[in-house]
Amino acid sequence: MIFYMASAFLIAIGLYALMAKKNLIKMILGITFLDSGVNLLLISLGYINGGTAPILLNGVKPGEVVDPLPQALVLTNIVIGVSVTALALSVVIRVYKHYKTLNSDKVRDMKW
Amino acid sequence: MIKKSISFILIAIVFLALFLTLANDVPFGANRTVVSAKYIYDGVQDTGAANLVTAIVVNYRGFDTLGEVTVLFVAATGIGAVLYNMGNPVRKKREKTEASLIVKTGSKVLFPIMLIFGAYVFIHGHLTPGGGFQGGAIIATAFLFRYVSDTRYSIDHKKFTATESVVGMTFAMVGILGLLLTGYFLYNFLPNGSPGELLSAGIIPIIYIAIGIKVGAELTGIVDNMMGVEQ
Amino acid sequence: MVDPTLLIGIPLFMAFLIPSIAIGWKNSARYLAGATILSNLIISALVFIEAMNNPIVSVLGGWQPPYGIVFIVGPLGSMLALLISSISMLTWFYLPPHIKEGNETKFYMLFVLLMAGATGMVLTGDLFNLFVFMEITSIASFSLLAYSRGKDEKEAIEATIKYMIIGSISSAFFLIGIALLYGVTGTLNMADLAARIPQANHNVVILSVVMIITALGIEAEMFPLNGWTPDAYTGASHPVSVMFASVVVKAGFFALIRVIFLVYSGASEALQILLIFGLFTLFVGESSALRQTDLKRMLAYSSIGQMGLLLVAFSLGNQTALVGGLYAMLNHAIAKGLLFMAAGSFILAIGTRDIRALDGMGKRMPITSVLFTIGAFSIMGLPFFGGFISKIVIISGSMEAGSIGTLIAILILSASLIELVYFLRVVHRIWMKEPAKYTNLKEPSFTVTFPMMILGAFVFLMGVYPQVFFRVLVPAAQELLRAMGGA
Repeated sequence: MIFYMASAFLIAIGLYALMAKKNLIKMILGITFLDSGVNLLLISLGYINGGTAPILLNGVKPGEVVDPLPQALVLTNIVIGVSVTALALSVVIRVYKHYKTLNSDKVRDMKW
Repeated sequence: MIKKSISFILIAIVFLALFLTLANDVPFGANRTVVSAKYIYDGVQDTGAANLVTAIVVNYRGFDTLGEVTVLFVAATGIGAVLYNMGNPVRKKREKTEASLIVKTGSKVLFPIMLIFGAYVFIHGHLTPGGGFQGGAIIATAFLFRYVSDTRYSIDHKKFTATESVVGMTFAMVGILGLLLTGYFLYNFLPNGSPGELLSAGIIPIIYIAIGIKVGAELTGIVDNMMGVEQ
Repeated sequence: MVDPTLLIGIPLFMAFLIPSIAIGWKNSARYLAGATILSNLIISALVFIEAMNNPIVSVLGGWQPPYGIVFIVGPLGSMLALLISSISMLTWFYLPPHIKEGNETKFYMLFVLLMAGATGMVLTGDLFNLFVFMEITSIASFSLLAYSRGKDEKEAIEATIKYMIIGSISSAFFLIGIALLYGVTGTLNMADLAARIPQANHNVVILSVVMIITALGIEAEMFPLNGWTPDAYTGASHPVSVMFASVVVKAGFFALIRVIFLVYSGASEALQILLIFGLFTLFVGESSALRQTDLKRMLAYSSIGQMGLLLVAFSLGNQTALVGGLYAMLNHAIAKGLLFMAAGSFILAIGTRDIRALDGMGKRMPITSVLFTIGAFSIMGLPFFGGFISKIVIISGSMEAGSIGTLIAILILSASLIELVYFLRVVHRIWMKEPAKYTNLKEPSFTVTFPMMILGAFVFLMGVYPQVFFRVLVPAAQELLRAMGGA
């Protein structure tokens, strides 16, 4: 239960940072929060009461482990999240070079 | 003000919808395994890996992993393209202040240990928690230490490129070989061995070693690109 | 029989190979990329011919679905894969004058990976695999968008940061939707999901559908989620705009349609929501195009409008409308690609994107002007071109849908009128006005113009021999309808 609350909360914080904050770096942090929240959600969906880590060595039986599939999905997603964050940061480096500011309001040269 | 309030309301709606639906309709801790049941019960036999997550990542859903490696590759290439010509090609002194003696000595001691640990993590991916990506990240952190502690440290870009290329091609080759030999892309065509041994689980150790090296090289390359940007 | 996984495997292998070879042999990237795209073109043609008769199911890793990932290639998927390879090939010819600055090797790598990502999106039968390929496509798009140098650099970077922020929200929401679906069904395979969703908890399914429509709607430029589109299309270098308009958004749209039709039996209101949003997209897009003085921005809004039209056509739900929608999708990909290419040649020659500078282009760059006009006529829906056939079929499909259908038909016609106005304005300038200052404008070289000619010829064929295309599109529409009616 607390996991659901935490993941929904992280997602909410991430969205807030993306939508309401002006500093580009804070927005990228928002992306990180969003990803963390989603990952937490995915893993908590895999938990089975009383289960242990899905490694079948040292006497662990198949019936006693948690669901390994969401863990595999999260593994993939963490890497994707890292890639997006890294790319976003490098784009921000370029933005700074041109606009000399990290304020997203000023980065609005393109008209409607 | 208006923008903040609207976002606040929208986000509150998303939060409540998400939390209430989850709390009421998706019971925490319940056994949801439909497809996973097969992974859990037949995993060791089918793949030879004791670590079920590894079995899924590399074998059952190996194609997703190939996609993920590609994502990292695209991002590393993109960063190289975006930051192209933004720094001095011959990296001389980047930092204005040198790192302290503790950091310098500590990193020299830790560097080989971290490399070995990272290698251990990805070589034993099918037996212990961890695997290619985790091990690769540890290796990249080891290199990051070197960058932080020594302002003149720099690795020739050609080495990164060559490593990433060769290793990426290995992964794609394993897949295509599987296609040619058995008619299924990424089929596990090596023998499974007995679970618990280091040399078991067919193509899994090969792929994980490849991924470990690739991820390490790529993350380090990204760090190197960003470090090279002029202030 | 050729395995469709090669459509992904070969580009990935080559993309990994290119940087090594480029260390030694500097200009090899272009030719290696060209060879890869050519191989994809040939393989997708072979796959298409095969898949028209019996759908190819390619099991990856040897694990049967739902335990493994599977590629399901029917008439629709293979046609789209062929479209993606063809447009990529033609854009490859068009590329050289447009990427002078910047790292050429990396551009070609990203280009090949973009093609592979979009191809994966249309071929896969697994929901999480779709997510992974969507990410490959998105990140390649971000990188290619950030590519411009020189005077366009500032706009490109601004467009990239906007696109990235919205793109991240899209990925996160998509994943939340997938997580919710997994939570109540325990599987990720699309066909398996279609079977299990009817018995799953209705509330969760509805929330996940909302999340997924939002996420894929961002990719498919649905209103109000398309704020990123005008900036992205305008700021991108010209070949990248072509890829965005013809390949990326089509793959995103296809993903949206696939997923919606998948859960249709579980949430039938989804189609009505799409219809309403589609109508909004259509009108907002076309009206915004009316006020533009920037050529690429106008084309971008026109694309948004066309995507709205596609959404409407696909949500009407009957076979005629679906065939019309598919026809329109094909026509738009080709004609819009042509328009962006021609616009790019214009802009490269005269140095500005302002429409008013296009006066008298017909005399100065006749070939490109003719090609531009062909593209414009097709999107407008004038007879003898593909757009005409597609609009007729969509409107008759809409009339079949009852009284509300007639209203929708009227709305589509009014939107088409708006299209006519702003395109004719440009065409009029090109042919009827006198050239202002610039003289001595060279037509671009043959390698750059010839892809445009091929696109123009194709669009003309679509208008004059529709039966050929119906033979392909009707089974494709039936495939979609079958998916919609339940597993």
